[in-house]
Amino acid sequence: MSLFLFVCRRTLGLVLLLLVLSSLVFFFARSLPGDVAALYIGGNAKPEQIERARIELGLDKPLYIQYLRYMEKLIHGDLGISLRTHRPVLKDLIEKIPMSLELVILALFFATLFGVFTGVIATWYQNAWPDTVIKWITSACVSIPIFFLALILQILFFNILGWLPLQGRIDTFLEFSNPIQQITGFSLIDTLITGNVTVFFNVARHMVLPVFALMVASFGMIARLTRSSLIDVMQQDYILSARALGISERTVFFYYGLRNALSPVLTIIGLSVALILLATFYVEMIFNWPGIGYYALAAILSLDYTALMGVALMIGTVYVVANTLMDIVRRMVDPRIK
Amino acid sequence: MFNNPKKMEGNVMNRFLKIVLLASMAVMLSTSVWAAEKNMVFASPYGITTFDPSVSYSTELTYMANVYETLIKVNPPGSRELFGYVLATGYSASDDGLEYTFNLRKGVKFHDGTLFNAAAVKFSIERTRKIGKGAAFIWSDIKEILVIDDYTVKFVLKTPVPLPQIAASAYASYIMSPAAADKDQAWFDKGNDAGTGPYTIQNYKDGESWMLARFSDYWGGWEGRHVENILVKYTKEPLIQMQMLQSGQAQLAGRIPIDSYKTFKESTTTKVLYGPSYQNYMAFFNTKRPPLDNVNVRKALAHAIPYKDIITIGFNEMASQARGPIPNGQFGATEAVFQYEENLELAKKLLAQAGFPGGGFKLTLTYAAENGQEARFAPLIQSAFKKIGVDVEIKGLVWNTQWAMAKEGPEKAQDIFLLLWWPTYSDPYETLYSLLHDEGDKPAWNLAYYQNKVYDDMIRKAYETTGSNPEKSLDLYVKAQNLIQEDAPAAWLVDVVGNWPMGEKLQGMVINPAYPNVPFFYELYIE
Repeated sequence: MSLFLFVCRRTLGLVLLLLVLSSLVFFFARSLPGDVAALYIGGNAKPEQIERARIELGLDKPLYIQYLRYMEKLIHGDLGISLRTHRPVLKDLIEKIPMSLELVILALFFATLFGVFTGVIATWYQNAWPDTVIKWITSACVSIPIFFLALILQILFFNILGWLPLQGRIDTFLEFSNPIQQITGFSLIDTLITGNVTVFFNVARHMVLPVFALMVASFGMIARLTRSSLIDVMQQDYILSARALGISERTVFFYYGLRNALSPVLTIIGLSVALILLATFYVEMIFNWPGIGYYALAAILSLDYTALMGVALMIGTVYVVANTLMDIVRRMVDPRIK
Repeated sequence: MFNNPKKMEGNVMNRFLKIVLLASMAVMLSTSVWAAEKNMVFASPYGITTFDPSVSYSTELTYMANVYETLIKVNPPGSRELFGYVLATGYSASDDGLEYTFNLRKGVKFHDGTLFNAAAVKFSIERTRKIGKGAAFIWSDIKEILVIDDYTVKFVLKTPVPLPQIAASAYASYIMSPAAADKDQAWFDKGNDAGTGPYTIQNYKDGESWMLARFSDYWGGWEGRHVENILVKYTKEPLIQMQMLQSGQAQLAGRIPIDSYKTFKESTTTKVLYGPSYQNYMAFFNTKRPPLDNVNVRKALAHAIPYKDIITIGFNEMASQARGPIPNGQFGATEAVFQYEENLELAKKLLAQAGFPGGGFKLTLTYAAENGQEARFAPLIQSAFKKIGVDVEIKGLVWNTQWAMAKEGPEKAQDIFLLLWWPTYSDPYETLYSLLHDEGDKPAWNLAYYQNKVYDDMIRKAYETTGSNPEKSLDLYVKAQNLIQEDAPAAWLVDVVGNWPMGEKLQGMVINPAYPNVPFFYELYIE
């Protein structure tokens, strides 16, 4: 099948999947116990106020009417009003997503970069002491719970060493005296665009620990898979043929070996997106990072079902899109995939 | 890189490493420096639901009380006068308690520059009543508001309710600029305000941070020592709040882990200020479902509760045993109200009288899973009840789930419901009415499903008498509370001790239980 048809087929599948996902999310959220009208009002709400809120939110209508209204709004990009913040959920998400994506993208980038690099080193020095050390380290990386690691990092780098900040996106006073001008919503990019170098490095400093906490497990997985995949490829006949033809070992290893070994690694990178996205929920809470994870946890604790639906849809969409893109990239890298 | 590996030469690698090293140093060294005694950071777990002063009814009170002002304010316990004057300079009441006339302060400006006057008072209260959300119900007994002149306003009531308590309420009593008449809730929720208070809201980033900045034209002036700018860092985690205080990143926090209070107090850089609060914990009994429909069973359970252990273990001594639903220090709370004491022998005797010698039944108790205190003391109640032969299954549920379950009707609701309560305004009626007046089988807060018309009439009478005859009102409130102690629809557990963890150099904090979780920043200064 041509690449174009492949992309079209995957895109159609993506749309159908999102339709099913949004319906599941709607019915699941509606099945959650709790009086959302009372939550919306807040405080020591009186029965008549709760009833008024119920009507205002459309909760007095039959479920199928509520579903149809929900889907109609969804098609127009309206995710409803957050019961907790009383703001449009879409607006909340648009503000929060870049803050989380920044961490996710950096974590994925460094996990991939260092993971592949480490896997290559381990393969190059297969069965020697660097390989052994790397195996221990990557095992530990995969095993350690991310939330535990995040807390340890805080204690070590903030409490004991005092090298890195405890929490937040930027030093508090800098946040007010030299605020980040919102252009893209990505702090590092916005500070670079506006030439705010001081804040750029301050934000980068605040990102070190949360990004590290997020990338560790994925780094371990990618490194281990790169190693095993590369070892497997290096034993193939065409590799022996390339060597027999007098091609340098470096060319054989990096050009012929690594390229062909990357296919399964790309798959695991796609799956790592889900792992990192999930981990942002508690990493953001631990580091007080005002991203989508923090928002989602607050929504869960307050049973803000409209926000929960919005977050679930957003995460589902990002995951499905990321995996679709990974499949497309794999298709491009390895034409054998149809 | 992989296409032409020969480019991986030593000089390229060296250059790369140098760049990484320099960038790392720049990152590590980039810190911001702050040195000012007029500014402080508040690591706050108190979020914003809305900034609309007519609708606000949640934890944003912490900030609203610094941005907006009321006509009068309840003074902290121990003060000579019950009320202090804020936007009013005095008031008088008619003999029948149906009219209250307030004299207003001159020379006060709103943050938008508009002058404060009687028309602004009328506008504010009428706007709140018209919107009808939040705590607007507190004004339901108002007949009309009359502007006598620019600095005199009269409230005419339908019934003689205690208007000063209402006017001093933590919610729904803020005076706002009439220039905001065409503004809706969305405008306020963007971080705009229309108050007269010493601070304005600036740089609002929902869920992240905001600033309370000094309002230069504040009528109270800025001579003397006052904190001028408060940078609020929204921080839900108590552990992070504590670390921010200990490292000097913040000067005030909302809460720290309960087990950390001892070490915190002993530190030379931090301290904790304690004071009364009007928050209390209670356990509702489902009075409509056997065996709790038997008053002797309820009394037995009230006598079996380990009040001392709850205070020690559940609250690390930061609480006192409650006497009734009215918190200690508030009007209506007196020693004339009967107090249950832990007495297991009496509890067993009462169970036997109720037809349950040795207990022999099982109950379900729910608590709010996100409430750390309830999670600590619920097992204490479970093990105490076990000693009198009553098995308790405890369930930690998210607050909204727990509340929804309790409101489903007596057949489906839990047997025992733990609740943290605090009043909307500083008068016992709202608490007594909300918690125990007859709401039928679809209650909002009467989660004991208690129905007693004598009680309902008594508290209403007490409420209407407060303004004209406070002694008679108090007598009625005491009688009403003793009535419910006799019926035992709930066990009143503890009155919470309020506290503020802060940096050692922060001074001026006074805890006022009428305004829960409110630091009045204007009174604070940093040494």
